[in-house]
Amino acid sequence: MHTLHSSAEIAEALDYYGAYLHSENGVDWSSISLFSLNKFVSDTLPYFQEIITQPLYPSKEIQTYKQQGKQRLSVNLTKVDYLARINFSETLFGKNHPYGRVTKPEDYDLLDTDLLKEYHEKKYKNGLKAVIVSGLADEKLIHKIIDTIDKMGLKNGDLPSIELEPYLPAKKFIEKDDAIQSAIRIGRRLFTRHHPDFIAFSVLNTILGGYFGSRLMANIREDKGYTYGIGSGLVSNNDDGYFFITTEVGTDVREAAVNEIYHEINRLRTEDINNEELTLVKNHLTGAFQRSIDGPFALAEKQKMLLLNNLEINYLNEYLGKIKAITPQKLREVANHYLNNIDLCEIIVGK
Amino acid sequence: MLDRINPPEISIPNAIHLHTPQSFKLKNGTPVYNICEGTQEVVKIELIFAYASLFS
Repeated sequence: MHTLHSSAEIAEALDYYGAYLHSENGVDWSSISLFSLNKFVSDTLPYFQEIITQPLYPSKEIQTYKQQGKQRLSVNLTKVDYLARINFSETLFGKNHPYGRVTKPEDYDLLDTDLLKEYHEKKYKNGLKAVIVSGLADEKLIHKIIDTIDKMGLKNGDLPSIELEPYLPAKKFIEKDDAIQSAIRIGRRLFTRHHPDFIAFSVLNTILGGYFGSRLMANIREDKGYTYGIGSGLVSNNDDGYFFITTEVGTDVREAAVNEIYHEINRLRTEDINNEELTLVKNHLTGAFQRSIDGPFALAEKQKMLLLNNLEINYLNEYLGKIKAITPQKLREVANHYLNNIDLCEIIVGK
Repeated sequence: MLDRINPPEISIPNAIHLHTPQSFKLKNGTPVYNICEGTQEVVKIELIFAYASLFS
């Protein structure tokens, strides 16, 4: 039996071959990637295999991780934007769903080598969803990679679906006496990429707060000067999605900023967007989309998105046509359907 | 001479056609996708797991 390597030894070896690792951890899934020069794949793959199948989780490293994690969390818990974000997620999805659950400092106390090894054994060794290889892998190399992953002995698994509680919009003000700024989050639970209005709503979101020239930026940053930055976003997860507006403003202009946000939402519901603005936003989205498919690694990210959302390649091939077909009337209809004040959550932390 | 006063006309593609990636299966049935679109001798191997946080 070969000797397992420490994290320092693995890091040094991968560095020697000019390779590196990257890991991601989403709310539904996680991934680990190896970037390697083709000529060194035979040398780097065994380290990748070892990390995935036989992690050591040394107690000394876990202790350091716990201390750093707790420290980072305690700093975050003093920040108004972090508090607004976690309260917003909890309000949208409830504290019993992973999308709404919040990490507490005492959660770090539970971590130890045995717990992590048990979780790894139970979940990761039984939960391989997919493998994506990108770059320049010929037939010989791809079969070598497949052969190595087969030898890892992992079992196939699919994304777990957890039942959601009904969405109950709420408005909360969390006072923080020492706050210099107030953090504002306004939004709602919405839908996933599968919904027929997803693309229309993503255009609407871009107009409102999805790019630097958006209406929220033009009004609340450029015209009123209430904030350095304001934006909005649309997120699609496995079980559900959500829409959010986020900003931090001076405490003295909190109320005025909130009023202006609702004013911009109301404009979307009552006025048709003029063709000049709509064309600008369509051009912006088209350019952003083209940038997002530039190169094999970017295409791999798109493939991952399709895979994790159970979508086919046609979703991407038809995307530009659907953006182009959006009309001002459709956007107003979507705004009226989904952006009623009564359906929106509002979380403010500060004073 | 390049015209540095007037920007080129914006050209919006009506559609794109991305290739369906080459696909394989591991012995356990897990799909493997190969996006072989690169020009440099470098490869990224990503394993995606259906589980995230320990506390999820």
